[in-house]
Amino acid sequence: MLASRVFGIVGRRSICTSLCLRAHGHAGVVKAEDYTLPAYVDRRDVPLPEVAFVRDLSAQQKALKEKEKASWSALSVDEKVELYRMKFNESYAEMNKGTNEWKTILGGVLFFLGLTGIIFIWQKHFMYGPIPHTFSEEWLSAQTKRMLDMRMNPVEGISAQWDFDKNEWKK
Amino acid sequence: MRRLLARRMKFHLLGAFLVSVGCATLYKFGIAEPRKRAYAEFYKSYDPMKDFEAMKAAGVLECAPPK
Repeated sequence: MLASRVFGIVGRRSICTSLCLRAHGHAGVVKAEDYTLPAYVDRRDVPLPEVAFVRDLSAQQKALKEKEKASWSALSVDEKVELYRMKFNESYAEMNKGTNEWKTILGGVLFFLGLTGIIFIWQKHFMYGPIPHTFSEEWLSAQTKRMLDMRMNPVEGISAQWDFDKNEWKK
Repeated sequence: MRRLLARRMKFHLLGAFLVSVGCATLYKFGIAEPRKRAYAEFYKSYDPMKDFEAMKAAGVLECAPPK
């Protein structure tokens, strides 16, 4: 029984996270981190986010919130807009507005494609050795003649482009 | 906001249907039909013996030399 009690205490200490260790100095209550609390989000499919946008109200805004508790027809247009902006960050129109980001992206893509092209050209010029001898003109023409002789691809392919009677390529 | 998913789904379902059917028709009438016609044309006037003699004369057949 004594051994299991010791083991229990040891086990509890080993799974203590840093938050818990901090809590041991603050009377056992951990301050809630920002990422654990409900968050505000501007999304088309979330019309009423979990919290208002402005978290810490100034004295003036607090007074406005008090006024909101009374009849709303007493509020001026500017006060209504102020209350809206306290609750929401962007209106739907602002949220759905497009940006000019595509221009940056396209520019970046084309730039890096060009850079890659330069690298390839440099490599071909300075690094690679000669291509195989089977790519020489004589070899290629002999190769094509052999392909035509054995009637390769006669329906839609290379032998279909050759006129065997006139011994030339079809027009 | 009203019927957001329904509107989007209707648009995309219709679009997907049209795109896939369009691709299929384009393939059929751009690639499949010409190919079938090419094969029919080729075999209409195809003489295998004449082809064989031509290949033999060219010397590509190992077991049937041109001599």
